[in-house]
Amino acid sequence: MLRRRLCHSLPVILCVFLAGCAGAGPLRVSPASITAAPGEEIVLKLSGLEKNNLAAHSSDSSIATVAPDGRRARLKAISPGRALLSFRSGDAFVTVPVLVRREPPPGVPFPATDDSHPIDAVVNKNLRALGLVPSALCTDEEFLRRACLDLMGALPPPEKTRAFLADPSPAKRAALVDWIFTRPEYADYWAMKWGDVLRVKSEFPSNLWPNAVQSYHAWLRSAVAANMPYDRLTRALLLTAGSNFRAPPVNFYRAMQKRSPENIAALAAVAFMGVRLEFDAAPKYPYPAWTRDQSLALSAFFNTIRYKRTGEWKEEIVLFAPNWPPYKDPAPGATAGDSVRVKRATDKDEERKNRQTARPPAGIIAPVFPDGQAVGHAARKNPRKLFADWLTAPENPWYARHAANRHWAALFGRGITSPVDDVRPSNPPSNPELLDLLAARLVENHYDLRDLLRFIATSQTYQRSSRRNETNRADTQNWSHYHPRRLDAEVLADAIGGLTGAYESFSSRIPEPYAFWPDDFRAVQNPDASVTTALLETFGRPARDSSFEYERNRRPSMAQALWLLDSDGLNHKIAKRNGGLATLYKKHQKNLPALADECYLALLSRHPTDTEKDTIARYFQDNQDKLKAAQDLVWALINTKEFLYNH
Amino acid sequence: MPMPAHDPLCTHHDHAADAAYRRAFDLVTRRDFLRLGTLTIGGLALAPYLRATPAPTARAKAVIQVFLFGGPSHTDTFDPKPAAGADITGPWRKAIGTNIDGIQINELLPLIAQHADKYTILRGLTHRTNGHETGVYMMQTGTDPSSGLVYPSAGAVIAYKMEETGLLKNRSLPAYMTVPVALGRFSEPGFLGPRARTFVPGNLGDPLKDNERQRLKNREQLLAQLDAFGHAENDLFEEADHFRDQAKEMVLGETREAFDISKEPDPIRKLYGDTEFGRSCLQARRLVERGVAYITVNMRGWDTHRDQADRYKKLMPDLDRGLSALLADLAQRGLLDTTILTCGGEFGRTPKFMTDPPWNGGRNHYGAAFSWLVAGGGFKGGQTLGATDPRGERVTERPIAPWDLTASIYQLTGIDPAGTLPHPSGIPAPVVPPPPAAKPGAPRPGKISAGGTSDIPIASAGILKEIMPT
Repeated sequence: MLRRRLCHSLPVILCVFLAGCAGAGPLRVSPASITAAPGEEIVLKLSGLEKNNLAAHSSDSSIATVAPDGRRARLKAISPGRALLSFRSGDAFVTVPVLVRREPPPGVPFPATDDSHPIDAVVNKNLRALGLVPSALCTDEEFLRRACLDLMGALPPPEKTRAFLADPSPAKRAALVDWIFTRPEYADYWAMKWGDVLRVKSEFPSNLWPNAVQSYHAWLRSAVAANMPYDRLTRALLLTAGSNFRAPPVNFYRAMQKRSPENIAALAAVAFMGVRLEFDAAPKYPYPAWTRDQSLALSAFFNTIRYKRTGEWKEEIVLFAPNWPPYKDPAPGATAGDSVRVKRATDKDEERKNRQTARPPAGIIAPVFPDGQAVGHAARKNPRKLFADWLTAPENPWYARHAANRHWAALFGRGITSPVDDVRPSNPPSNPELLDLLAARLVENHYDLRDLLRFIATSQTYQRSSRRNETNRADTQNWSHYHPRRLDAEVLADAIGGLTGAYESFSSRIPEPYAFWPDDFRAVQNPDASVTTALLETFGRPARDSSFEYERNRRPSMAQALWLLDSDGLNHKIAKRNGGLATLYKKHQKNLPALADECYLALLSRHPTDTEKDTIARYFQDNQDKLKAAQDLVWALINTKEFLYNH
Repeated sequence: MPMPAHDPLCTHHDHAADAAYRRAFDLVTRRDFLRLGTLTIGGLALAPYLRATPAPTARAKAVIQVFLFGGPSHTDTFDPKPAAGADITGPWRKAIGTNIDGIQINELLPLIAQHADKYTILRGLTHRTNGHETGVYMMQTGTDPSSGLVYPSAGAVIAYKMEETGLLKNRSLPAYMTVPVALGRFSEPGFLGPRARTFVPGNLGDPLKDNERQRLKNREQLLAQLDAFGHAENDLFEEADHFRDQAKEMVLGETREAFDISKEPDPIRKLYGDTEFGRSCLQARRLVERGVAYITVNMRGWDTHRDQADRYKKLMPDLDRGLSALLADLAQRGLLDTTILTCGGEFGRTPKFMTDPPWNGGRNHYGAAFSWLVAGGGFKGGQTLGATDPRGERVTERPIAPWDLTASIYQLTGIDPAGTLPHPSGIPAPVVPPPPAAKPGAPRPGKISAGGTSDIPIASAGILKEIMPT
């Protein structure tokens, strides 16, 4: 029942928005939907153009590209998958779904798949439709390393690796996932991820300041550790009032440079719905999810938030005005004339009553939810509670889907809607059925995030190898294989620290006296984006300026290459006096193969192969100084792609 | 964007200049933008439409920014107030003449005083921010923090644009560097992402010894044999491998000499002074010679809330020697014509000298009025621009906002201030965002607390055309 409500609500809303986008004339395109093979080119004809102005956009250019050409547009199919083409001319807007599928060679049947897990059933159905053959399942070694990195941002300790690899139980992979949930690293890692979205940072531009960062982070971490249901977490962030030191969730309303109703609404929209709000009269985004008016109407719900200083350094009380003051357009005259369409309420009398009492004077923006539900402005209710109730209701089309998508993206490196924080009609999910399945699971299990993660991690889809076959080589959006991605900056720093005993050293210059963290403090545990190191910055740790996932940057750079190749930073870690490697060496110097085995377990979560053992034995033979040779081995392992990437 | 009617803070406001400035930056009207927005998606083609004037020609090829982190006192450096009494001057009561008649600077900087023909002192700077983090952000990015985007520093912008337009002379070295250590409390790349991050050479200044070279080669050989996964999936790692090749050239190749000041003759090293700051200035000059676009010399220790007299005993002579050497050396080599040299901090310090405990002779943060020095690359020398009242507390003449300075530098380096930068959301951002408009009749800001910022926008008098070539 819940699932049906979820599934049906989004298309309705989409229609409302698409209708809202189409203004001036009937822009038409033929054909209205496209199925093509990779490499195929198709010409689309458009009618109803305004002055022959035509903009064309593909939601995923790795699937299909489109280029306007007079009154036509040329589509080129690239690789199997789904994309949505959007065309705009003047204010008119039209979309065309594209399916790119690969025809399997005649006589070659699609391999049989195990569809007993609901996720696998949905994913494999899609793969069959696209002609993509899924990769085989990964090895135990790969699964162990991958699950630990994805779910707790840390490599498995060597003793766990030994035990897991020796365990003959067929259920050991599921057991591993449950073991991870009990680990402190799990809470650290997800608190870090929440920190990225909620901009937990002392200084510019969040300006939460250190005490509040500590209390906010500690609260988020304890919420993860206790597996607080997602709707309760959301409501706590939206509804708490009080001191930023003593009532930590209030910091939600502080983490922005300018604390305006619009900026608060923008944070709530991106954090809980994955939508980018638009307040410029000229839309910055080509096809925004919601119009300026809709964004303003949402901001009206955050018009009661007030801040009060206390005598304590950087303490602040976040409170809510007892009355709901009228919300005015911050830049009147900017709206181009389109107004919010109010959805017909089921109870017409109720709506009429609302309208009568709620009709605002000129310049005043009435609060309206993005799906068109209006609320009576005169209803002297708590507006944040109205918003929280609307947001966390099971039929909300964005809320559960967005949470499901974020957690999927955390495990696969890419959301079903991608980027996860750019949900809009012109950027549809690559597999809508999969997104609905996950959202329904979340709702049915009372927003239990751990259950959702277990659900995903125990699917075969998550356990696919990263080795590709000739059909799925270029696939990035259908989960036919696991896509390798470089370790997060913090995770990388901690992974090197795990073997070498040399973690990053953190200090803060505010407030005086300076703060220094202990030597074994891990980067993932660090609550504050203002407390950083060169290594973390170089490897793309998010600055937490904006909540957007693009801040976490995994692209390689020359500075990264230099750090890995020859830097004091890395060399000092490896050669740390009385450090992890020195200790291992002392213990195993008479048995160098055992030393190599320890290094492999700690860094790559596996034993070396016979060829690797030979190579290493020869290297030790050729070098007089065995400790230095051991350092060279660790340097080489850290520099392998197998270590640097999660695969 | 509404035009500011007047600036409540300053009396000599040039309305015409302001209007021209805003025309240049007020990219296009909203209606135009909407129309253009429908023409181009992804937005990279927007730039030509937005260009109000032809792209400026590049006069400067490089920028050296000497950043005095912590905030130097403007009254103790380039805007002395010898007649204001001991509660303003503190122990440094004398101003000294320079080699230009009528320009005086503080007695603490006698060597810099001999080069006043080469630089202009900007005495009208103001941003009214008293927090380090926001002050550094404003001075480094030249944008207002309320723009809604987190901007890259001017160095990252110049490096990016020079690369894009082909103005970059040397592609084997990073275009944007900071010596000797990164600023901290500020993140240079902003929305341009980690690749735009400033490069800190660190130990690359020390030449590689033979045994180190051999060991690195051994390690590379071992790695080649152990990286089976990397070889099998090599099409995924093309980009990473490309950067690795570049890094190898930097470590093992001749590129490394760019950082090595031991290659400089003794008299030159003596001229700059054997201090961290002096060596950094010399390294900056070597990098300019090799075609690096933007170098920040980060001089730390200027946050002198307490015991300023003691700390100046070290800071001032180092600054005086290093900066004067850089001015003289760049001029002597003919590099000053094409190299912009700037010097200043994130704000000034309270003109009132605080002798009471706990300060015991110190000054606090002061963003209402402060000074920078600019030279070379087209900036005229031998002048002052802007002025403060007799106590150094308010700008009375020619206010200069942070974006006036950066937009002028962009103009001289051939970067169109009306151009755009790529933003990861896919929507291009203007190189210089429209400054926030001053509201008519806005109240004068009251006292700004130590870490605070005034909400009232700054009405400045626009780019520094008084000291730029016409």
